[in-house]
Amino acid sequence: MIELENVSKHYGKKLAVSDLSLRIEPGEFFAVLGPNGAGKTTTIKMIAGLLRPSSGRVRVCGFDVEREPLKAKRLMSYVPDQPFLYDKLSGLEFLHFIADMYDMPSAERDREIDRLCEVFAMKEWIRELCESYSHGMKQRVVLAATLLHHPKVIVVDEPMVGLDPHSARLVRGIFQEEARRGTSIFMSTHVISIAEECAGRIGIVMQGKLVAVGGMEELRRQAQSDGKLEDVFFKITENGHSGPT
Amino acid sequence: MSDIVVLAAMKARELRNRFRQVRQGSRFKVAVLAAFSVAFWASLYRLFYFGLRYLYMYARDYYFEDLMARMFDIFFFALTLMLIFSNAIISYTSYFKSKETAFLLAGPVRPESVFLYRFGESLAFSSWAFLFLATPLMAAYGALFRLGAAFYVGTGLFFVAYIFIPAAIGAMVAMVVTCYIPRSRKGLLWGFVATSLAVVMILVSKILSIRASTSMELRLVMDVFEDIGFSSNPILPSFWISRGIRLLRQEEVGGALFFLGLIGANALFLGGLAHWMSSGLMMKGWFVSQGLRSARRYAAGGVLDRVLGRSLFFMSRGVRLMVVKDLKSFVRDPVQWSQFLIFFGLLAIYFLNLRSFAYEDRDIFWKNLIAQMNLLATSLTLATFSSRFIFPQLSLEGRRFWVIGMVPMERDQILFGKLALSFLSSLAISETLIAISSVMLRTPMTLAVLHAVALFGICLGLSGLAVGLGALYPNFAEDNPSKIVSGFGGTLNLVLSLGFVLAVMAAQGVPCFLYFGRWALAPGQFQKWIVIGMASIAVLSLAACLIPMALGLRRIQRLEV
Repeated sequence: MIELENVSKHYGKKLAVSDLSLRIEPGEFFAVLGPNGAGKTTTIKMIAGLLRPSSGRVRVCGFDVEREPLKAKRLMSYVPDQPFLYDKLSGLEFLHFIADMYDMPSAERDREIDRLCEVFAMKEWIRELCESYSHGMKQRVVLAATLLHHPKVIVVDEPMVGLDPHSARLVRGIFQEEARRGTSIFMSTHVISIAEECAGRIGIVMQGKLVAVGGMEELRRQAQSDGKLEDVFFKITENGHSGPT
Repeated sequence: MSDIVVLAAMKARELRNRFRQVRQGSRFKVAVLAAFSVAFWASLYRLFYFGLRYLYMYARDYYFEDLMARMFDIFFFALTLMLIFSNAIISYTSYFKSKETAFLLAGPVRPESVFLYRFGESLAFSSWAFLFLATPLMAAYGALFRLGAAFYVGTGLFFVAYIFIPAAIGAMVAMVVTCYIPRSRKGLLWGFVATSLAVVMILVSKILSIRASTSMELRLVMDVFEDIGFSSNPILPSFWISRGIRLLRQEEVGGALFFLGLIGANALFLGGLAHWMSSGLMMKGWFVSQGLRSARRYAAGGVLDRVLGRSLFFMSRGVRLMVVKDLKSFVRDPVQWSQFLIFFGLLAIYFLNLRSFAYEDRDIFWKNLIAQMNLLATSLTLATFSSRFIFPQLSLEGRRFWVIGMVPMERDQILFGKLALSFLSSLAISETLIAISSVMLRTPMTLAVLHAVALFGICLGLSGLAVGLGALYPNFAEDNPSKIVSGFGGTLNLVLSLGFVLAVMAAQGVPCFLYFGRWALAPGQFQKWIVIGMASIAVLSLAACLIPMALGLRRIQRLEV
């Protein structure tokens, strides 16, 4: 579960996120949409504990990210928009490293790695150094690392960038499956169709403010539109709609 | 398993993989790099050995022990300052700017474990140069006095214990400055630059406050040592290592062990203090550094564009655009130009104060000697900077190559742009420095002109080498210039640049020493030697510029990114 309570973030005089309050329940798939520079990545980094809110509080599974960061991070996985891999480790070594960081018993670690290699079709190349991987291969390793320790919360920033259609569908399916198992998912994306297809609730952010939030029906009502999410999104962002937070 | 053990195990696996890659890679490259390293170390050893032997023969009966004590104190003091500075810079970037730190901090790793892990990396990264400089000195010192294995083992222990002290201080400086000093990117950098400049300026002003008398060289040396006597203050760790090593030589094991213990205890204390501080300051510094954002706005077609556009009228449009783009990028990156400013600024301060040493009143032998040393210092600094800043330029275009690779401009214009920028900027700076040196020394016009001409050739050759080899050995996968430079191409460029500088120095230095020295050539013979020297410089400079440029141009035409 993720809770944001009146969270704001300033970069000097610039207000990146303004008084954001939000609660993502266990098993909920929440997608956040917004134009570039709207504050999506800043929000995600605050949830991941990489940025400190200027005011307000972020909790993950009941743990305050600022006060009890290790407890919060142990239950969470974060996938940044530009994921990091150690070039001089093989994908398998990287997964072992992640499992060790989360104190996974070795038998469980090996079993899970085998399963994820199967799921992401990585068996053939997982023992090669990460520096030799294509963007899509790197994304698969990162996503496998994300799921490896069975997090209760997954925070993802633009997961579909650079993925081929097959991999994108695979990732979508995996996140939906994780949500069904009770994992809270907070995903930022520019791909409106993915948000529409996967997310139970969608938030639209503009200039640091959450201008609309809810399921598809609720968003349609707020935008007074019967169209697809794309139409709703454009209507809300073009009007600079100021809805509930 | 503890998080720091997990991180250490991962690093060990990474190093093992790197080592395997090196073993599987080109043996030729490994052999060349190893040969260069050994040759460089051996040259330093010879230089130190001859210097020490000369001093020993000159002052054996009177001042040798005093002289060695002061020299060691100053040597280790200067190295310690250098280490603190480089550790602070490396620590700042590795603690607060790196993607890996962001990745680790997002996981269940304690910030103090991230600190320890990154501290180890910074320590290794910044201390190898210390070992590379200090070990040949110690080897030469040991060889001069025919010392046994115990001296070398003891010295090794001193070094290993000692490097933790500046590393811990540098790490603490980086954390404190990031957390508590100006809250802007530029402010942070200025904080680092201003602090280090202030320290260096104080040292330089101490030395330059001496007004020497022309007839008393020894008195001058003692005056210099007296004025920088602070480096012999027993409170300084550099004094402990200096004294400890000298006691080792004198086989006073008890005294040496005392200083080794003192260094070890302080290394542990400072390391512990830095670790303790990291539990609070690591995350705080991370948050501060991530919250910084430059608010400055830059309009296209600003003053810099207009001034450069007009003053570079003699270049073709393509070359001019490349030069302006690279200059703007350089000017807006304080990490780049601050290093440039520190080294060339120090040279300028030294040259401007040459009269403090009353060299201008000395005979022509000394003037020539000092002028030659100044030319060498300027040229070697240029060689280092062309290797550090110019060589990686084309590699850094890597991810942006689609822009310049697609514009309707010949690819060779890219290289000519970089050559022009390197040549003109290094020429302007170095000729100014050498002109100051010549004026302050009141050198004869012939010598001043000779040095200006030699420097012209050196700038041309160094620029051609750096740009040409940069195109011949590009590394488009890396966006960190220091990593690009440390590869095969960068090392080759540095070594060839140093060799080229020494060759040009020899070509102009031999006639100068024969004429202005104590061998006194006749004017007619001097002219003949000068013609030979100038012709050699022209051949060397053209070869150093044209050969790598031709190879680089051929490579860039076929480049597939």
